[in-house]
Amino acid sequence: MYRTLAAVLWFTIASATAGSYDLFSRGIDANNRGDSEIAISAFTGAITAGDLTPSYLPNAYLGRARAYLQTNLCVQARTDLDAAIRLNPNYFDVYGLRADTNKCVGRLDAALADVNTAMTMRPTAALYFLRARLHWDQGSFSQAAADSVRAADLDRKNGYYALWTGLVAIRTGRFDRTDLSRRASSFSPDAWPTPMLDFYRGAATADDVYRAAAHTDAMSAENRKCEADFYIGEWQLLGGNKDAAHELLSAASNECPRNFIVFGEALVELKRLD
Amino acid sequence: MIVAPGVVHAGDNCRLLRQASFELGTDWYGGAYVPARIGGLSMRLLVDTGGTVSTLTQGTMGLLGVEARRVSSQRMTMFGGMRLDRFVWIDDVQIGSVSQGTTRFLALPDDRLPDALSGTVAPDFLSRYDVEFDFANAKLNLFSPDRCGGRVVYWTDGAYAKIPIQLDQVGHIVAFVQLDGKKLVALIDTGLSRSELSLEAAENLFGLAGNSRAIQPWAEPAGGDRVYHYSFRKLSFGDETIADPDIALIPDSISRRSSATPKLILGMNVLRHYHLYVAYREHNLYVTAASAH
Repeated sequence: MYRTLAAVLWFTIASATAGSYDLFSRGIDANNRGDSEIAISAFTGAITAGDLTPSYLPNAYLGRARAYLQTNLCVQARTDLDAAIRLNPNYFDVYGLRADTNKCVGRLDAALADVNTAMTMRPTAALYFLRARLHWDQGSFSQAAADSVRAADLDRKNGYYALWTGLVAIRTGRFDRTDLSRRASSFSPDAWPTPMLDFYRGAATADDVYRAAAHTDAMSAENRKCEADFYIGEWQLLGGNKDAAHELLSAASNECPRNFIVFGEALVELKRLD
Repeated sequence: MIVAPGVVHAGDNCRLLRQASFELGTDWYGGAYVPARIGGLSMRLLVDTGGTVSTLTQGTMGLLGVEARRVSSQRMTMFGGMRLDRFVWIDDVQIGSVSQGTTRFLALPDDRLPDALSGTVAPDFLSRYDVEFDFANAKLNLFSPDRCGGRVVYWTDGAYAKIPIQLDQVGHIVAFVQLDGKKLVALIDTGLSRSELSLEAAENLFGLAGNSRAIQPWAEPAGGDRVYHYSFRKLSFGDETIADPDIALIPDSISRRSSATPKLILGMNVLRHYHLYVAYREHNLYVTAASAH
């Protein structure tokens, strides 16, 4: 925290004489480093300066929205994305991100509308995956299954897309262990989230997953554990063990970083359980 | 927006003939892209001075209904060691306002670019021109390389740096820079969102070892080795200096770049702070601050 405060203080001082373009550049760099507070400060400076090159203004709003979303300030993010779309209605990147912010504030129908708009421009694996999770949130599991398969087929290198095909398939009663094993074979056994794929296809135990999650630095181990809590919690739920599921999903909601996918999905599932 | 060609006066009776001007877009990570029209479809191509052959993603090829085929005698090795060797030839290619006719593209996996981009434009196209990157005003200008040898920095009367460059056999721009007082060879790569330095070189030159407290962990790709980053004090092209460039420190085992590749690669987090004029044929790079006017 102190490092962050020091960084923001340094940035505030340094930006006092910086031009709007320089602030815009620093905002992009801060976002790429994961420094959301500095990114928000930099993009704010660039936007309010009033002389940023007009074609960059939608980018600045998008950049600040990204940073807001990383810190779970979803209402602020949505406001910025609305501004970006007003300036450039064909700005592809904005629709996918606004879908995330609409999801964050619980406006699932609006999120779906944004995803569908983005898909008319460019139907990507990431958009199919997002739409799958939106359908999942709404309880439309058959549609979630179709979209998760499409995402995994379009991007065969993404282990999470493959994992979700299994998770959603169980929900629809159409789990195909052979298909999941085929997808899992594309991934290195040492890479995360392969151990969770192995768990779902019956080739690993929960202990194996937690052991693999811990086999890294402390911060990554925490993040992996919270993901494991969610996916194993889901497995428990789908196997009828509601108490065990509730415990694991609660752990995920308490421990996962707020910008993790499983954080939001754990909250959705807990709400369904309660 | 695409601006018609025109003559630009650069002082000393030197006339630059601008052949095309494109609006530079900015992608999710800060990369610069230009508009293109390929096979009748509107697209966005990342401007990639660190590439070799211009590329199209496999998804884009699917949209165009074309299939790449392997040309065994030609390939490109990417970051991480991936080798690309499938090409496609497409008629009706227009990059900005510049018609290319039938053009060869290398097939690129979809996950190598942000979703909004369809491919890259690389030195196979860029090196035919003098290329001006006016990042602050979101403009890419192409000038004829057939011009006088006088001052080409027309956008400011102030100071500028004239940096000799070398072009390697695939058109990469290599120049000397100063990083925290040490002179280093750097590759200029507008296709990278971040700048990179070999971790081993960082240790040898600056004493920044993997276990040093001075450096920050960044990522942990599969395999155990880690990527770090470090905020150096300053980086300079001649007298044109930027402060606090944050540079990723990547083990050679992860980057798997050829031994001929410079250990320092300057990406957009550094480059966008400058206004650059790349005189490919003249073998010079002209540099001012991005906001110089």
